[in-house]
Amino acid sequence: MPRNRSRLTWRVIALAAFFLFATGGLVGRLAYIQLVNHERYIEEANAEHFEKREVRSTRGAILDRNGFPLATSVEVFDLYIDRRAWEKDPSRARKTAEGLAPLLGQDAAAILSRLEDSSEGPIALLESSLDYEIGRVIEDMSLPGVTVADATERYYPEGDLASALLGFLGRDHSGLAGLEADLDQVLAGSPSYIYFERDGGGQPIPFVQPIEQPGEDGADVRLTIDRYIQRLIEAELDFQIEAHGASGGTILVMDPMTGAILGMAGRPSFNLSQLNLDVPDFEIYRNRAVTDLYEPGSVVKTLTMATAIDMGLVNPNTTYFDSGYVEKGGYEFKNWDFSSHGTTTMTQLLQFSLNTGAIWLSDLIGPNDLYRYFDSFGLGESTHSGLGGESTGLVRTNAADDWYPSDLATNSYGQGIAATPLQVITAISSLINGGNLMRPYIVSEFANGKDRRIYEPVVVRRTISPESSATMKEMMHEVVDGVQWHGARLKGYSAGGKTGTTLVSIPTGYALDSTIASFVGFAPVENPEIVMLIKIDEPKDDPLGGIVAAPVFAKLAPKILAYLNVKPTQPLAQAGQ
Amino acid sequence: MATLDRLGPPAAASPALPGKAAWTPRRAIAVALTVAAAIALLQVVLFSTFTHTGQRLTNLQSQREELQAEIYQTEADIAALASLDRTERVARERLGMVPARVNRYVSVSIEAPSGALLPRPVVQIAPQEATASEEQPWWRTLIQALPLP
Repeated sequence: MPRNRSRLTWRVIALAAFFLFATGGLVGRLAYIQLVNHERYIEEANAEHFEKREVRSTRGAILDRNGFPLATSVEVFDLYIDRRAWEKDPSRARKTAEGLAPLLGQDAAAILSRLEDSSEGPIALLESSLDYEIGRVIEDMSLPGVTVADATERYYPEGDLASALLGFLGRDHSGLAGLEADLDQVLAGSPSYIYFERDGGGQPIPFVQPIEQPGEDGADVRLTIDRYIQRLIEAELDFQIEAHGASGGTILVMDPMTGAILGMAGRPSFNLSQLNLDVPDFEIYRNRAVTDLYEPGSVVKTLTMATAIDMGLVNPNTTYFDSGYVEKGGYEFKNWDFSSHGTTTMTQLLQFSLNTGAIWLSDLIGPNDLYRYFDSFGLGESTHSGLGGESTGLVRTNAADDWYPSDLATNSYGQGIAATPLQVITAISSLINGGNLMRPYIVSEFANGKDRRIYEPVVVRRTISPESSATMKEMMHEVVDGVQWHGARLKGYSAGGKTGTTLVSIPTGYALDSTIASFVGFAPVENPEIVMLIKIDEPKDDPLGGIVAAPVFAKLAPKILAYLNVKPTQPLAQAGQ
Repeated sequence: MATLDRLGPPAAASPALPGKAAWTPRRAIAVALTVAAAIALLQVVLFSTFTHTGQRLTNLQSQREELQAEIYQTEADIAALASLDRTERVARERLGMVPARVNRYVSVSIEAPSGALLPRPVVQIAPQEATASEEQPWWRTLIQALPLP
């Protein structure tokens, strides 16, 4: 009897189809997983198998212009404890305390009481910034409940030098103030990552080579600051503030030809070696040379004079009649010493610092041109130095609704204008360097292992012509060296400059018993190597810039010039301090 | 007996080839076990070498970290020794020096040395020379040229 082939066939076919379908489904699913969702499952597997650990890169150093470190980093350890390790066996805590005591230089009982104090929670920081060697010893001891974590600590070889300028770091090692904050990205670099396989319990699998994603160490930053000059001006500023009973002050030293800042000191300030962020007085952390505004006073007379000379309205020998007072906009303005000098040249105007002369010039120039030149000199705008917290200053021009003709008068001799010390010294520099407004800068270069970036001087704009600059340089020279009793005269070098004395502005006007005494000077006149601004806030013994600030220039400038190997312009004269 | 002699020798293995032993099951098993043992031994040796190398690598990395920490600390120590405060302190206390009251300037006809007249700076930011592509061994080049996954 023949077989029932059709019955066998459809069963076989059905079975085959079933297996085919099942196999096709499996293959399709495999293809979907392996091909379509390949990346996704790889990522999930890696996330499950691998752990990523971030390793912070070494923070770059901050160097002075000669390569001496002002801030650098050293490797340290932070010591953590896990109190759960001796919850069930208190004797382990005692063992840990006894093991740590000699290394930490502390009493074992004191350590034990901290270990047993559960108010901080199970995990707590016991000690921070341990020396690397001590940390390694503790790590090797494998004490119960003790973990050491890699850390770095910022170290300042020059102590508290340039505290406000350098700034400081937070606990997470990121910059919080000063250059540490302004240059945080450059100094911090980028972290590296280590990927290692872990088992089901989350523990690293030994004998498996971890995969490293290298980061980049932070770049070292070289400043234009000279540590010797910085130390000189800081010591002198501290001395002058104490000597005059002042509330604070600023000293700036700059290369007038390039805008490089050689020294920047401000008081009051803080000490890096005694940093206490729990103190809620954040005022002390600011860099006053760029943040604090003041009315520059008679120093601005040089800018007014430069405007008139550049416009061809006057020359050094042009005269006007000084009667001792001027009426303007319903107000009467007098000279600072209530004097009158009769027929006076422009040079004498600066020498005697005559308010009436400045007002006469401002009338000659006119408000539009005067404020245009003030704007050109950088008053009322940021210098773009790159330093954090820089103020832009304030100049109220005749375009403002609340401007009055009397404002032109006061502005001409530096009252009613607010500027930072950095703005003022930058503006004055443009008078003596050929007429170029230079961008002040403090970072000269930074470099890590593979990149190096050098910052070149930047000419922002021309303020006055080279001829006008030469004239102003000579006139300012006459202000200092042409006056026998001038406090800023240097031994061995020719110098020029201008004093400034302004009342301290308060919300209701001016404090009649408080002044800001200032002086801006440069030397040598023939080829200015330095320009220096000295500002002493609220001196108690004498209010005048010529008495308080100018002698500071006479004291510091020869030392700085000798340090910079600047040949004396009067070599046969006996130079002294 | 002659009849038995004519039958020839028992149907044993074919006449042995000169110089080669016959492959008996026992021999084959022995060889297989030996090969397996050799493979296992090789695995153990490789694994042991790998572990040892891994441990050495870990030790070397640890040494490198320690040395790097020492370098940073030494640099910090050098910077501290060269600090202005310490220099002045040594000058005053150890050498008995005082600030000059009078500076005398003497002009000479020799050009001044370039650079700052200071102790050698601690850190030199040397220009990084552009490095040419490193030469690699021929076998690495060959491996990279192969279309391996």
